[in-house]
This record gives sequence, C-alpha cells and structure tokens, in this order.
Amino acid sequence: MNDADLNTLVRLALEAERLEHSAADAEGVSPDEIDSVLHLAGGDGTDDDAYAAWSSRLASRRRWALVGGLACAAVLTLAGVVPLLANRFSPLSPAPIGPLAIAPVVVPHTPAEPVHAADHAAPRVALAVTPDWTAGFVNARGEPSVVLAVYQDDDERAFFTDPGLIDWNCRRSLADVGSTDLLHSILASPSVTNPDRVLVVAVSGPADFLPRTEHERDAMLACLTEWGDGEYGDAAAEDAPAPGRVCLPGGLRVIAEAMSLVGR
Amino acid sequence: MPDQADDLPPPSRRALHALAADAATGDEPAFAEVHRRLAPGLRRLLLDRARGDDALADDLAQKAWTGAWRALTEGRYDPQKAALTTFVYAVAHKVWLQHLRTGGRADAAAAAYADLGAPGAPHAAPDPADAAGLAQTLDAVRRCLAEPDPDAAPSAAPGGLTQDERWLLRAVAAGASDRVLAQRLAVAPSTVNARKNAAYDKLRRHLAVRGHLPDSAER
Repeated sequence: MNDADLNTLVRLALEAERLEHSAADAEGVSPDEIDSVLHLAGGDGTDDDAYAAWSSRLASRRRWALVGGLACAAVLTLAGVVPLLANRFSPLSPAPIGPLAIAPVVVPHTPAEPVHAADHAAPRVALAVTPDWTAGFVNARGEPSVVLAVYQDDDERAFFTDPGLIDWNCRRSLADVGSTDLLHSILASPSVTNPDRVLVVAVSGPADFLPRTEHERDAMLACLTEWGDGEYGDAAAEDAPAPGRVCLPGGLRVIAEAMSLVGR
Repeated sequence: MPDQADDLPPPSRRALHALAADAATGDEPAFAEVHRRLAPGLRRLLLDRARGDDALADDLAQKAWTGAWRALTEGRYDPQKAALTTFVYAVAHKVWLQHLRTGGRADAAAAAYADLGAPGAPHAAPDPADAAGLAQTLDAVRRCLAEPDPDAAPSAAPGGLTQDERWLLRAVAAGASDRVLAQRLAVAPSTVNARKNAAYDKLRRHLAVRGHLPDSAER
C-alpha cells in the first residue's frame, strides 16, 4: 500500500474518531467513557484533541488558508463589548457590526488576563453547553454560522448560551436568533448578571470548516483569543500552539453583533 | 430471562458495545439507542461528502443504518475486533462508495476513496454490510494515531510511532503541505518528507503484521 493510500486510511480513521467524539459529546461524556473497543487517550476536550478532530475535516482541501482582514481577533483580545444604543427595550440593536469591519471599542482589558474560556473559574460564567449542540444557522448574509461566544457588557469574560434552547438547524439569521431565542437563552443563563448589553461573536463561512462540536468550538475560540486570525510567526515560542495550527481556515470569518436585551 | 432483563439499565444508559450485542439478536430498542447516539454525527459526515445536499445525505444515512442493522443481525460485526462507532462509520463509507459507483463517478471519485478495506479486491463492488474488514483496518490505524497509555512503556505504543510522527500523520491527513510542516517543525522540507516516509513505514508495517494490507504492498 503506497503512502497516498495510507494517508487516505488516516483520513478515514480520523473521521471515525470524530464520529466517536460526537457520540461522546451527545452523551456528555468523554470519548474514553463510551466504552468502545479502543480505549483512546485524549478526547477530553483539550485543544489539541479538538483541533485534531477539527483539522481532520480539512482533508478535502489541499491548502491551509489564512483569513486576514478581520477585526474580531482585536475584539476578542480587547474583550470589548460594543455599547449599544440607548433604547434598552429594543429587541435588537440596530445594524449589525458587520462581518469584516468591526469597529473595536476599547474596553479596559488586562493583557495578563486573556479572554479564554478555559480560564473562567467564577461561577457567574456559564460554560455548560448541552450535549446536543450542533452547528448550523444562517447569518443575515445567508452564510452558515456558529456562535462562538457571548460577552457581557461589564464583564470581559465570555459565556455561552445554552444551545439546547435554540434550534440551530432552523437556518435562521443571527438577527432572528438574537431577537427571540438567543436572547431568551441568554436571559435564562444563570451567569447573566447584566443582560442589557451583550456582544455575540460568531464565525461564518464554508460549512466544512465550521466547528461542529463543543470541543471544536472551544478550540477555535481559544485559538482566536490567544493567537488571532493569522498564522503563527514564531513556532519556537514556548507557549506557541501546536505547529501548523491556524484559527480560521477555509475562508471562515468572524462576525459580531451587539444586542440589546429586553429589560427583565 | 425476565429477571435478568429487569436488572438491566435502560438502553439510554448502556454502553455501545452492550447495545450492539443486543441489537445483534434483533433487539430493536437497543439499535434505536445506537442510532440515537451516532446518527447526528454520521449525518454530518455524510453531509460533508454530499457537499451540503441534505436529501442525498439523508438517503445515504438511511442506507448506512439499514446496512448496519443488517450487518449486526447477520453476525458480520465482531465487537472484539472493531469499535462500534468505527464499524458504523465503515458501513457509511461503503454506502458512499456505492453511491459514487452507481452515480457514474467510479473512476475519479473512487480513486480518492479507494476501497481500502478489501485487501485483494480493491475494486470490488462494496456491500455496505460487509464493512468488518475496513472497520478493523481503521481501528488499527486509530490505535497507531492514539496517544499511548502514559503508564505503558514507550516501546509499547501501537505501531511504535512517536508523538511527532502521530502529529505529522494527522497534519498531512488534514492537508498540510510539506512547506507548512517544514516551517512549523523548523526543518527543511526534505526532512519533513523523510519523517513522513518513516511514519508511513511504521504504519505500513503495523498494518501488514496484522493482515490489514493487500498482498501487493507497495510504496
């Protein structure tokens, strides 16, 4: 068997691994616990495992893509929340910030405390995600999208909505989701302490590259938060991520939409 | 036996291999539970292959699950030789190959997804239910790519691949070019190529020893 065939076997094996991980996600257990014949180490939600599962879906493409020109990385590193317009009772803020040009609003941010989902320890941050999380809603531009994080106003940390409350397969726009279900799920989250102003950050683009499990989404968000949306320049850095990692492959773009919640 | 059946946890709380064993006896609720756990992920994989064609993905998924049920009840799946998830995946892959062939895309597309699970008959028409060989091969590959037990001796890692070699194979499968790999590993592209060859050699030997390769192994 030649190297190309072996490479195909590896690709298939990684797809099977991803199927196992998705089954584990559905059960809310780590893949180690789903009692397969293989007792694979890893799969516990670490970035590398999630990235491996995610990167296996790039097998049909023949290049690593760099996504430039996005301001979202700046938004994430600044951990900023765009102040909303005055009317707190409007179901939505006016026009979304837009997919390519996010005007970052400088919000006090301590560089030593990067916004990183894994760093959250305070109970006010809701990290629970239902096992049925799946990707798949269409943003206002008609692109498949996935919500990465929702930021509160005066709290730079991210929290995740409970996607079990949202039918992600309805293919509605982010705006539609935000006006009803997303807002309701935010309000229902125990971590919401200031529901007046939130920033919803999502990633849009080819469905092949969208994160499709909790692990993949966490890996993408952590990657963007730490490393931005470009390729890494210093692979020798002590804290550099796994070699070859890019945060936003395949033409993905990050969009952000500020939302005003109905007063509660 | 009613008493023992009463002691069994409900299907939703049982392990996959236990459910597979029951499904093999024709237990439909057990199979339904397997379907419940694996169907969403399997459909996403098929949707990938179908390039977003929902109807096609649903049709392929239906055929895959029909094939899986048939394989289980006909005794074609041995849980000791392959994980159930890998087996279901292999069945779905066979369904996909069948779709390619019947759709007239046998040459180009099938070349990209060669029937690698049928040593000696690489171009035979795939029976979706006959996926045991492919599942076992894929599980053998997975063992090589998995992180070894930290308590075990390094030499005990299946296939003997190092951590770098496992990462390299995964990165190559994900589409990384030699140039990108060379940059990340801070080595020359020729070195990347040599390391790839070494990793593939180890994988090839591992599979050959276990009878997973066709008789005419070649590079």
